[in-house]
Amino acid sequence: MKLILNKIKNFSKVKERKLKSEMSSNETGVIHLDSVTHFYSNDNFPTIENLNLLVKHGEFISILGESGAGKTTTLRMIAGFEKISSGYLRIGGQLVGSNFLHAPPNHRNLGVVFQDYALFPHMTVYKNIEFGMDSKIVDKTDKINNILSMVGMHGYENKYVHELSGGQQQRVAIARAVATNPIALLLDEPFSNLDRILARELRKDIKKIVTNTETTTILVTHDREEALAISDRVAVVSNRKLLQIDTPEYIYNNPLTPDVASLVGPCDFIEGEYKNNSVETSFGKFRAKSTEKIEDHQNVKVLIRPSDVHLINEGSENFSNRVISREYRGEYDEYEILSEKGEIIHSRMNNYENIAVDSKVQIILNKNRSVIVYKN
Amino acid sequence: MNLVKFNFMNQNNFNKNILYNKNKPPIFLIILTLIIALLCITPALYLLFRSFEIAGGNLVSIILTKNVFLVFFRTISIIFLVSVVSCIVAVFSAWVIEKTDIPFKKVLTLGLILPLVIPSFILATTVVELYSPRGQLQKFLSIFGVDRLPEIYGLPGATFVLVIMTYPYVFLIVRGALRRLDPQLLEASRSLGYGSYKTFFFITIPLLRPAIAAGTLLAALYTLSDYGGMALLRYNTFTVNIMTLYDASINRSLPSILSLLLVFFALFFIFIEYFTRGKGVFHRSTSGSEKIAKPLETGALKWALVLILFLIILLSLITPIGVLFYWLIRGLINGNDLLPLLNPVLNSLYVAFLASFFTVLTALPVAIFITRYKHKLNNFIEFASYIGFGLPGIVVALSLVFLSINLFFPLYQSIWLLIFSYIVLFIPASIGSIRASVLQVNPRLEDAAYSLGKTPIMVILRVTLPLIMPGILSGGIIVFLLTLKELPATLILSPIGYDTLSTTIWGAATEAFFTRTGGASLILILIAGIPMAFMTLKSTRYNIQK
Repeated sequence: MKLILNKIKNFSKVKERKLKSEMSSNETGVIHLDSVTHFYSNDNFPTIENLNLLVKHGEFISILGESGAGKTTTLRMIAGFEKISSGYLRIGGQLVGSNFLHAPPNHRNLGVVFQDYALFPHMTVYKNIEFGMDSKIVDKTDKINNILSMVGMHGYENKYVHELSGGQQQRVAIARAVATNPIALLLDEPFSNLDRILARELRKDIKKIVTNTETTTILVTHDREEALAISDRVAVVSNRKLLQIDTPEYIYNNPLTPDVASLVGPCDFIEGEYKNNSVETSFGKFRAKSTEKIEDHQNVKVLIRPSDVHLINEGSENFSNRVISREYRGEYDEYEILSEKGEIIHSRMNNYENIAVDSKVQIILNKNRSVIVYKN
Repeated sequence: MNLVKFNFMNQNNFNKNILYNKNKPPIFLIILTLIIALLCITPALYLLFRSFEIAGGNLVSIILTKNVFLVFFRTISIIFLVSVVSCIVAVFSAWVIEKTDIPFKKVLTLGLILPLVIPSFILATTVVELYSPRGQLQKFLSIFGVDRLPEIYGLPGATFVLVIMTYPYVFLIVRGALRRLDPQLLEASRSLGYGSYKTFFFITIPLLRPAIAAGTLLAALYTLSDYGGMALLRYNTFTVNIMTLYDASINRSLPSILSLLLVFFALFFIFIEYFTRGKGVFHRSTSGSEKIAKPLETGALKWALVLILFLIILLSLITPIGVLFYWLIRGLINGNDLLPLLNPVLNSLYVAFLASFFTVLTALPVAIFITRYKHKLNNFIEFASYIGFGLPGIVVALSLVFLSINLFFPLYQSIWLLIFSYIVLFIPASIGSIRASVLQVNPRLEDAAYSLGKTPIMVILRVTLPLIMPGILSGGIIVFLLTLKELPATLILSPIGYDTLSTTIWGAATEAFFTRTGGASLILILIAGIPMAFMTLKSTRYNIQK
């Protein structure tokens, strides 16, 4: 009985301090996950382990990872659909989740956009958007019309959900989430049910909307192109852990681990020997850099991106690397190159550089870029 | 219908993460469902307690008497016959309706389902009129020199009546399963060189196994618990025996011991169904859009198939209703008045409305609880609320009589006790229907509503309830129908002088005033049939649009 009473007490307390977006400050961020771990009650392994993430006001952050990496769970924890097992979750500086406290989703004032839209099928577009809005707002109709034109859905307010296409439904879902003036917008794979062209269009529109309204946004996705194109920072999640978080450009060029490297772009790994800021491999000698401290003559793992690899086949007879396949991809050709040691790397080059299969080639890196090396 | 959904859920572990909300259920919901579950389980528990108290050591010796063995044997044989025959009729007609290109599908479907609304005791009266040694059929056949038909009383007549009564249920279950069957599996079988009939036996039938098992179980349980039809056709099963002993009221302990046996009997069938269900996963394996299979072209056979289905409908729907009209007209000519029926009609409607309202009201929290939340009480609540499915009406009624006499005397002879027995008996059916519609609601919709700042109660009122309204309505209609048809519990529990349609018909029929039953029977069938026909047509239309 005491427990129930306590629960009711806590409940009303949380309600009083219903969260406001103005409450964020620079140190606490809008959303702050402080060593958060999550277990499903019957699992031995955590779904996400020791996650630290500080999202600042107006920032657009993508959580990138393969399916099962724990990224959707992370989003659902922030939204309040999952309880966190340990650590602290703060929204607007206010503690909303820990092992002893769980503010329910309806007290968190976050806008959530779901993968399958989750629009209410028994309501019109207008009613869907109105659903979450404060009932005391006077000029509700104007507001809703504004939001609808912002997402490019003006004139659809009396349609039912099943009369809309997938892209249109997702626009309405975004409008519904934005209409409540949320502290932050959480997007759970919002484009994965749409075709590529539609997804790209919608992505640009969303970016415009959240930039104009300075809305803090977290996007969960498995599509690296999407994550790199839209975000201020990308958080790479793999195997239940946050591996690296940084700007798209930095993370692409300086991935902390091989896992991060392969998640943010296509890549090959080969063996090499590190010496004096360069690396000797079976494909030749390249300039090298590393995020770790590496001593000379140490064996290392070398990361090579296919788009950096340029092939030269003039004066070919002396070269030891052989082209074993060529695939036409439209914008570029993808070559597979075999070294004497039996290692394989890929190259992506413009298709006017017509190199035949079986020709011997020399490998140079575009613009003399450095490769990244990792300790073995 | 319910059981199939039920199987579907259990096997579909893959979907559990989506179906279940991992949040804890609100405390008021836990307490509410727990109370409902305990109420549902009360009659069975009390019966168990009573039987042991009364019988003590004599239990075994009572069970082992020769008479009990005979009754046991009779019950088993009719259950076997009815299950097999109604299974064959139902699977055949469902397959023809769903998978071939015969014409008049809508009318035939309606005709095959509507016998559902005719109670067994009305069917029994018409069967006696038509097929008894000197009945209408014999009069017709006398032109051909037949002057006596074989005896209809006993096993043949009872089997005939119960097949007609049970096959529509099996038909509905199998038809539902056939619709959910992935047509690509059948196409794959055809592409691997199996003909359409081979495909039917090697692919369709095995895939339908859970549905057929559930349907057969339903047929068996209805046969086990039927009182009216069996009694009129003088086939002495457990249920009839219990009622006779109770009416004689010499010994109150014997009926309760036999009731307990009856419950074990029912449990036995439920277990059999559980094990024949199999371990395979029978849901559609593809996530792509549902494809509509091209119906099988039957060519000249088409009209033969239509004729067979028509014959089934003729025997199970048209002739019984014809006989009732014949009685009605003959009765009116002989000066019978329909006015005395007004009171029973109003009573029946009143009781049926109350029963559907309260049953749906109690089914709703249970259905939401067991589909939406993963809780340690889930299994218990599911079992407790489904127990009425296996309890014959007579058992619940007897237990409630004893319970009210001994513990809650003010309830004895009150209409609320009757309503309570209906709730216990019919809550599984309405849970099944509500549960199916809850399963169709994407839990993300509820998540979305929470994230838009709504409290749990607001979410239920504004999102969940409107979306499951169709399921609630059809659940209510089913209970309405079952209540109108119910006989044994109504006979035992309705207050003295409180006549409903079914007790009125029963009274006239047992005194062999068949002519008097015509009007009342037709009114009952009409009241029950209209919502049923409406529901059937609505679901067919929906399917065509799709």
